[in-house]
Amino acid sequence: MNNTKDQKRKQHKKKPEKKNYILLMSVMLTVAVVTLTGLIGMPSIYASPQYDLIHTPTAGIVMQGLRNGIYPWKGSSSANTSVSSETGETSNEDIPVQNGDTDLNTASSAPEVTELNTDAVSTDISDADATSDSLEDTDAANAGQTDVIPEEAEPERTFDDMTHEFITVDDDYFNDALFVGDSRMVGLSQYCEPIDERADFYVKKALTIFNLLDGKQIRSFDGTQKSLWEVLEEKNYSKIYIMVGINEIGVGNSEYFKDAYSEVVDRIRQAQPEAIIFINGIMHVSSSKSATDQLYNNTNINVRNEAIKTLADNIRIYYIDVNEVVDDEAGGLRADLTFDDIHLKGSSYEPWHEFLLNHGIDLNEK
Amino acid sequence: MNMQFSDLTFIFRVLPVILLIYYIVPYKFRSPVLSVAGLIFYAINAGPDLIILLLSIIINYGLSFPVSAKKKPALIFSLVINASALIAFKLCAAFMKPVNIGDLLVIEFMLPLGMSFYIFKLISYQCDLYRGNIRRGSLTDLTLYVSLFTQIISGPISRFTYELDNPNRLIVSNESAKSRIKNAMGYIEEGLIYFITGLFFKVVIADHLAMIWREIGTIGYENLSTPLAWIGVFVYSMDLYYDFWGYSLMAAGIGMMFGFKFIRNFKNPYFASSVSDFYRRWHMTLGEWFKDYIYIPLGGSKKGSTRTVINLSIVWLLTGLWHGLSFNYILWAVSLLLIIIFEKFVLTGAGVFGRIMGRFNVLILIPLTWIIFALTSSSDLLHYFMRLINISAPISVINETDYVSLLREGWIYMLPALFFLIPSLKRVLNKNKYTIKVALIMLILFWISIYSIAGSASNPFMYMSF
Repeated sequence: MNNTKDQKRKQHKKKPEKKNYILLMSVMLTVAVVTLTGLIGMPSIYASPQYDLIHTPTAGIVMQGLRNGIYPWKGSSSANTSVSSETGETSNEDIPVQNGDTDLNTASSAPEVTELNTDAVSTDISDADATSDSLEDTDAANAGQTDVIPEEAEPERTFDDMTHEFITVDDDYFNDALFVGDSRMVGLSQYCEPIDERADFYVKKALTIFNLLDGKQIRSFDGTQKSLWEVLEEKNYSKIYIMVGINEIGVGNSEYFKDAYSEVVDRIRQAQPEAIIFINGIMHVSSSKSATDQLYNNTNINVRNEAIKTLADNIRIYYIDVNEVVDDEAGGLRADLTFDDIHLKGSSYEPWHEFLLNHGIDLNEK
Repeated sequence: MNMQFSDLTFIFRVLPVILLIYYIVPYKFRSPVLSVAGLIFYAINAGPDLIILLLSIIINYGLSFPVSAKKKPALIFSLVINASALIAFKLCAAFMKPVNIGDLLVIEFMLPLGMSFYIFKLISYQCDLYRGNIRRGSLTDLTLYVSLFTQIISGPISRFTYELDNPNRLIVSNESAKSRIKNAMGYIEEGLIYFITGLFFKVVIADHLAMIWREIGTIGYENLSTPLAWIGVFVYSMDLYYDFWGYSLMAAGIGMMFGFKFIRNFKNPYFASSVSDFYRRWHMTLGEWFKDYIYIPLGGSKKGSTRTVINLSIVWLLTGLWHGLSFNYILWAVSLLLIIIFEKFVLTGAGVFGRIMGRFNVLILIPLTWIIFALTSSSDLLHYFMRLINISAPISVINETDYVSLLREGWIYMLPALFFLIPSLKRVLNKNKYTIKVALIMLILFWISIYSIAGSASNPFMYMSF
């Protein structure tokens, strides 16, 4: 009796001993394969300052690559398209170097989507001079237009060389407006009923200027997935408001940002020549956030705002800066308007609403 | 600098290297190897706080001689010095303003990393020593116990016997190399299951729920729609649970890789039958510590109702203070205390009604107490609870459909959070532990987790997309 009991107990005890090492082996095997992939791809597809072998294990780099749309099995053709993303410090130096062999169009990740832009806009702004080029282009175009006016072809353009002053408007001004932007604009759509009822919102959390340029499809106001360019093909707007820039503040330098912005504005102009484009300065973060964040601070925001401000021609393209009404004395987002130091609270959108009402443009106004 | 169990560098570099060294060195060097690894790991995360840790170890080592000789004054002295060190640092952290010395040097008073945990471990060591439950350890043993890198930062609060019970020590040096390797691989295999599960809970479920919780905060609590406020209650409760449960599983899993026993810190708390039952299943090592070293020595529930209430109050007040010296932790602890007293004296013996109320308390009241735990500002707290019962503050602007977009983005993390609550999952897992099926699932969970971490690693601000 006792013996059998003992045996039973022994058997019972033995059971957990029947271990095998499937999991350990498969983890080790897959880690080895992924690491090897990373090592092989290191000189080619992962050759970007973004991939930091010292601080990140090779297997992790392969995963980061996947997230950035670099698939080892697709070969190395799309190698350098991915822009060095946030590395914790503003790595301004790195980007222009990359621009040498990188088309700006392919900036943010998906290399396949880029066809669209290259077709539509032939301006290649892949190097540093590009900005001035494209600016000159716009100038030239404007100049050209002035020449063209006497010709009967485009009579409605007679106002085109006129600059306009901001006027106060009422909410119905937004009936034919489109708002494009990141989470800050999402907030406006959710907490500013007078505008939300009237205007269309093409907004998404974390939307960047590069997403817009790439034709990234986001959930549009009608519930379908669309790129901005598809939206602009479907409906005409008289006013288009853009506010992006906080998310990509660690990507590239302000020139790079401005180039992309300028291209987006140009393309909007092409798609909807009649629309007034309002470039909205990036909203500040709170002063306390600004003081402690190496990246998301108001110094960086101001640099970028100064850059995109220059895109305004005050004819069709205007720069407006909501920071005028939401800043404290230190030049940061007022602490009582925000909970997370970055966004307006649900109850704090009224100043922005008022600001927009006070910054209307009427093209028919002298 | 800091290094967590969920860092890629830890998973792919540090952990394999420590394991390798640990299993290669002769048996007698294993404790020193682990102790040194623990101290280095601590120094990486805590920097100069290491000095305080070392001092605590040395002082307690010195006191362990008279305490093990059952000298009561020595025990009392050790309790006083440990407790007052913890209290003093907590007070400083809570109330002292940063001090500027010159222009550059600013001294900020912070609680040394992990101190709440290691002081509790030391107190438990001294008490067990005095009670004769354990034998006095060498300096290496004590250092290993306190600095064990799997526990040094956020627990679990193990007992001294845990380290001595390491079955791994049974591998004697004259054992054949083959069986030693097999043994080691067996431990690692088993630990890996827990580690991967914990990793997945932490980085895939909890970290993303935390993002959703932050997003809710962005709106401002006074502006939440009532459905969103309740979703927030769920999201924060699950975030907290998977964060801590995931961490505890990782810690226990890593411990197992080195041959230690599994330490259970959570036991299906949301299936508890009452709030007191909940806290026997939630952060169990802390609860057991309070039970063994505070509640029972005070007389527990054996000395009449009045004493029971007093003892419970002491335990819960201390639990609140242990989490931090701020108003909301006290409020949190007091509300739990009231529920527990209510349960103990009213609901017990109330039959079916009592049992239903017990479940209600666990599923509804506990999550509400987590909101108290989460919100440090009393006006936020007030606003949040007002929104829960659909009262608006005059200043608020509420978008009644705000929860729709949040659910659309967040359901993919909320559903797994619900799914992994199912208690029988563990049984199913244990039954199939060494099958290909489980290995495959674990492998998938592992790589999903790594993929998720890689996103936040390449972009430390991923969790801050606006």
